[in-house]
Amino acid sequence: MVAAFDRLPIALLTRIIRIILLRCAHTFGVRLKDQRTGESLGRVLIIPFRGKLWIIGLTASVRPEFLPQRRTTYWKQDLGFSTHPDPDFPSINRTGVSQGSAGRGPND
Amino acid sequence: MPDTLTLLLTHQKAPQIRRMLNHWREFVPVEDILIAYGGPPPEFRHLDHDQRILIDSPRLKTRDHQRQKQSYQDLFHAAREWLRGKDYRFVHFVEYDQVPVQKDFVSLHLAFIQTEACDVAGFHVVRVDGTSNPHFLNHAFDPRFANFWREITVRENGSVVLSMLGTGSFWRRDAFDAVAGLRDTPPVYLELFIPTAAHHLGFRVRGMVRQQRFIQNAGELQSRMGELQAAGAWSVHPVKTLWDE
Repeated sequence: MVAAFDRLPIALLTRIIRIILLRCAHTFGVRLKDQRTGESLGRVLIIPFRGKLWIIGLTASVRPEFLPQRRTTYWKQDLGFSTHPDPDFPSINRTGVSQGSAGRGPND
Repeated sequence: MPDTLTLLLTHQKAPQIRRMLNHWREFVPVEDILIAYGGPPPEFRHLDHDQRILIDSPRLKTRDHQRQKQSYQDLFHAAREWLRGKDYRFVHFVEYDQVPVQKDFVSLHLAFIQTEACDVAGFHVVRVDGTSNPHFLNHAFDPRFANFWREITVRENGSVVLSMLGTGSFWRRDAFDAVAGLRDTPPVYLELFIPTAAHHLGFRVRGMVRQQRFIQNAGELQSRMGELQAAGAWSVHPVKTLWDE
């Protein structure tokens, strides 16, 4: 068995491990929810590593953010994830509007 | 007066391009198609189409497009030079494997641009700054990336980064010319560079959200073209094998 692994190129072995890890993440991982839309972001594995968190299996482009709390709690805070709204910025060239005017888009 | 130039990027061989143009001529006047050829220069001479430009650029011919930060800047710039003095008001940029299936797809794009009052219409347009988007995170490592947008932006917020699928986009001419005019830019993957540059130059970039289920980043949709056309697709991607014999 060990000899068989020895013969595998490193790149192939890395690929196999990555596929298994992703399969585990998408099957057993924690289910994340988009805090802005409420939609599912799929399942991911979250692993603490050297003072950071590894997020494995995340496919959406999301921003991490600590969530507002109804009560003041010193022992726990919620970290959530959310997508940006669809880009909807005005055309400055066409309308002649400048930032801060009525033409300002919801993303600005 | 010609209104819309189709800027068609391909690296296929001459016989395949002939079949490609035969398909396209059912949708747009063939004289309004500019072939941007990214294949070998000797093959370029065999292309049976007058409106063509050779794009012999190492920034286009990448193997690992995302990690090598493939760029369409040389292509856009060459097209801009070709367009100089011509009256086209819109540019439809499209890769060879994004195939039109709806007869009036140009007027549908024009209607979208008018309705949205936008300058650039693309697929899978999302804002990615500050997110887990792998392309954004890799670019954020290079300080030249953020500095470049701060230097060119005409907007208040210079940190916005947009992403758009690179397979096809529809442009008002002034927006296309402005983005194509940017030279000596830092290495930025085209799916980030194109929409973000348009945005920071003051143009409005919008996603054709209802169409994006027909425009995918992987797979082969040739066998489903009829089905997707019936479902309302204007064009379909990817269709890589349609031009093969």
